[in-house]
Amino acid sequence: MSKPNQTAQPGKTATTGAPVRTIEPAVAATGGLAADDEPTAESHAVIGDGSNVSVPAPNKSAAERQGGSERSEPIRFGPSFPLPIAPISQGTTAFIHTGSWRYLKPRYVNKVPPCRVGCPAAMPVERVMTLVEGGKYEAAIREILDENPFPGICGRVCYHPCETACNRGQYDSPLAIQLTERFIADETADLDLQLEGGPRQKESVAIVGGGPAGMAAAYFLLRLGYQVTLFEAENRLGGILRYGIPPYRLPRAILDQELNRVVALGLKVQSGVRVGRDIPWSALRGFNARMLAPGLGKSRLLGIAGEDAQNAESGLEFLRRFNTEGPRHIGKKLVVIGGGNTAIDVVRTAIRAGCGDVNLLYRRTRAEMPALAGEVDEADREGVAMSFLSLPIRFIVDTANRVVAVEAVKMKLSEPDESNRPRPIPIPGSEWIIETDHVVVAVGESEHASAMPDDAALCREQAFPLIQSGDQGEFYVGGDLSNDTLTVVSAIASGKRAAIAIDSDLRGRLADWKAIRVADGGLSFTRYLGKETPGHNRSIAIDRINPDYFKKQERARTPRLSVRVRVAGFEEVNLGYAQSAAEVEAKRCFHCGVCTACDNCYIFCPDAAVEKKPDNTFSIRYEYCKGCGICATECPRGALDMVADEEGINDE
Amino acid sequence: MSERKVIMGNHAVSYGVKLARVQVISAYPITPQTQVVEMLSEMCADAVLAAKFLKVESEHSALAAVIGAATLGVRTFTATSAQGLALMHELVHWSAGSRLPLVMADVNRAMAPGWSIWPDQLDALSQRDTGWLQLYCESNQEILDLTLLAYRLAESLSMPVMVVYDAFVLSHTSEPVEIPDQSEVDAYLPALASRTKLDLKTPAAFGGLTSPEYYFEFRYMMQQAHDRALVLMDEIGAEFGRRFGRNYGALETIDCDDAELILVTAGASSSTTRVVVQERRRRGQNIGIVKLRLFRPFPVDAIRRVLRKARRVAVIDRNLSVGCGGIFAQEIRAALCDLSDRPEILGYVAGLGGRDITLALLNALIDDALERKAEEGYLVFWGLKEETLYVER
Repeated sequence: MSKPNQTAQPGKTATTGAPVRTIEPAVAATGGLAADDEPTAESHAVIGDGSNVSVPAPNKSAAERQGGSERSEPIRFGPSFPLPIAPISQGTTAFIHTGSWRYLKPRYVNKVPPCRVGCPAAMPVERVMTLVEGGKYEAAIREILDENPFPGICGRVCYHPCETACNRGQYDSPLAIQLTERFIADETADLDLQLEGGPRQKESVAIVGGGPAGMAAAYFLLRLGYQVTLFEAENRLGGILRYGIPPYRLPRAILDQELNRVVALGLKVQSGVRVGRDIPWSALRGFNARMLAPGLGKSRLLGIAGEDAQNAESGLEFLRRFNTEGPRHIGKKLVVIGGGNTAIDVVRTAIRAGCGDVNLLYRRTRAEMPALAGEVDEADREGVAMSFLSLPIRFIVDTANRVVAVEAVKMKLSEPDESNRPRPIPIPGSEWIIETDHVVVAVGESEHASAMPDDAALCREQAFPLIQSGDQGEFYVGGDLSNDTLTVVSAIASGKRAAIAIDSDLRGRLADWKAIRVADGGLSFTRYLGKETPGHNRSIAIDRINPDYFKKQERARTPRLSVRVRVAGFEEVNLGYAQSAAEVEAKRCFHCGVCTACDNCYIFCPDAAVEKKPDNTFSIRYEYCKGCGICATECPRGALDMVADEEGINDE
Repeated sequence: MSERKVIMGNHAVSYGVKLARVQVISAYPITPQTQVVEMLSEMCADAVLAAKFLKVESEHSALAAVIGAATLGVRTFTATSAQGLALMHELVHWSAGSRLPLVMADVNRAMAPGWSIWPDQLDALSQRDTGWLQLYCESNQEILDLTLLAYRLAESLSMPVMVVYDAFVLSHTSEPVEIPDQSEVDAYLPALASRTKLDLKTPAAFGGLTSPEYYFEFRYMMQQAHDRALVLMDEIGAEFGRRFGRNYGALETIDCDDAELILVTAGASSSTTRVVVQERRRRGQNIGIVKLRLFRPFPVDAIRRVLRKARRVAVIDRNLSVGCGGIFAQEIRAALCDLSDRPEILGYVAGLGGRDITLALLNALIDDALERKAEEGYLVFWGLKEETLYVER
């Protein structure tokens, strides 16, 4: 800025006879009475000491003076006398570029909220919460369906890693995201959404396996315009969703409705067809792309005596038979071995099927169980007897090769094993015998040998996994075969990944895998379609949330069917919540790292350097921003970052 | 119709503020001021007083809030005491320089440490150079009356006025007080027509950077306002007397015409002094009292007129400017020093931190003032415990 003009002009003479001073902008700041010498009548401020004294206002409007360019004309002070009684100025200070004092600057940087990073399917939870708060359920379901075809299913059976990631969990309790997803799905179940597909493509794709991964891949490929044929070994679609998960967790009406939504997009279904058995692998050669999502069909064994008894079966087999044939008589007493969700599904199903004495044996403690804690709690409530630190060592069979009892040994926990869980060690001499009428072993699954061509092997060297076969060539792959986390939502995510890989290969466009991944979370279909830009693709921790703006409030509770009613049948146990609860829950959202136009920055900026634009976004007038950081501190949700001033405004 | 109520000094302020139809009140509680704003908040809650009551987080904010409100041209009130007033200090200057017609009650309380809630004039006197007018009260009636008069003064001059009274001796002591009729007060104190007003249609910056070219003149104008205040005080004090039957001037003089010795007091100890002096008069001693009501502006001419006839003046300061002496004594010496026939001036500091100024103490003080060698009377600590007198620390 320039220095004071030392050569004050002998200005015009004001009515009082006092000279008019001419001073350049820097010094104009030192004048309480910055004003031009030819005021307009309208702009007079009438202030005075005993008489009305006018302080002339500048001819130029404040707006004209703002905007960064150096003034070429000097500011003139008004007549010196008579003065008003106190310093008052109608001049503008817009020429004072306080931004030059800055060494840090604020920047609006929307982040990826941790819930979305936590969701393998990259569900835009934060945007959905905004829509739910506004009662816009159709827009909300469309947002979800852009990333996940099965909100009604995930809203019931997902292990909701989004809630584990929710920053609110470190404040009071995480948002009930899963309940909200379910609420939206149920609320919009009757809408005809007319989901748009991409331009019709001539290429065809074959998918083997109609579980969540195969169906998700089919869904995304159909929305991309491909001709999709799906081969399913069972008679009906759904895989684990239909043949594993019991209806009290996932009502079949919901399952059918969501699977039908995919079929309605034009899916050709070949059910009851096991590829490699009913038709040869070579039958798939005519398709432009092929994908395998067969799941893990083979149950692991304990490797102990008596496992081949007539009345011993695997958890998957037990559930499959129940889900296809309905309840059957298994005797008065049941022993189930295992600690995962399959084991819990088995015991809860058995209770409902009328088995009065259901015993669960697990070799570690409750804390180490891989099953969802809530499911274990419910099993407990429903009367399952759980023996922890208990390992079966043999099944005692009678002459008809029927198990009559299980001999087990007590365990103690030792140092962590390769799965980082404490290793259970048998306690010699602690063996005991449990009599039983039936045994179910549910200790995990592995891949079925017939699920792929004989010479096929999984290859993970690309951005996405492939199955390579010398005879049959390459297959895209999804589901449990390719996933470390054997969950429904991971299967859905892997189906999406395969669909994106197929599309990018067939269309010859390179998917920017880093950009379509939400921070270090899952892949976003919305981003792949270019409907959403990655922006500053990183997440945000709780320490960036300003707790002063959020009242502590516990999350919505899940109403459940009473134990007495639920064990009498297969009615859905979790009842979901009401609309009022959805809105309350949506209001709890921190909107981590995402500007909600709350106006705090706009209100708090002491330099009025935050500008609000008509579209409810903000920009910063950096020529005035002193870099004080109040905007970033008062942002309730960390949507403003303070960065070194040398950095560009739009870099990164 | 006016009515008589037996009320505490603090509530006398509250009634005064209510009668003044104040529009914005902001205060932060501090003993012994709290009851002032407690009652006002009740009046607001009960819709007896149509004022906006702003709760704030500190005295600094309280004064800032009323500065903002007054800039919009509304009548305001705040009250505080001691540390609270000290915390306001920056804005005490600011409000005067802004020429805002604020009225604030300050309950005289000793400055800490040692932590004290008892009377001492130093808190208010520490603000003497800010430009605020200061009125010192002797009774609860005077508190109410001077609160009303303060608004007239403030708004006539566009200067802020502080109404000052003693902690507990007045603030928490009940006395009969005549509460004037609202219509009478309305006639005495018309609605505020602010001369410096923020008009949102014509935005302006108030109190901005002021170059050496202008600052000096603004201060000069503040002095002019104080000069006018001396005249105005007599005028509006007399008008108050015509309307309400109680006259108020810058000073109150009692038996000074023939007085050999004049005692100068301010605040509640003036009442005790009256009793002692009445008794002395009965015994034939020509003793008078000058009670300082208006301390800023300092009524130099009136002081000279009344004190120059006496042989001796004994100033009783319930305050100490450490390193110099009683503040009233300094000001009076300064006012009289260029008179050729000036009285001998003795400066007594008494009753600091709420130590009682009793009849006995004043009787002994008068004896001392009549006898003491003038050259040994510059600064006399009156009423110290004897054992401390000879100890150097």
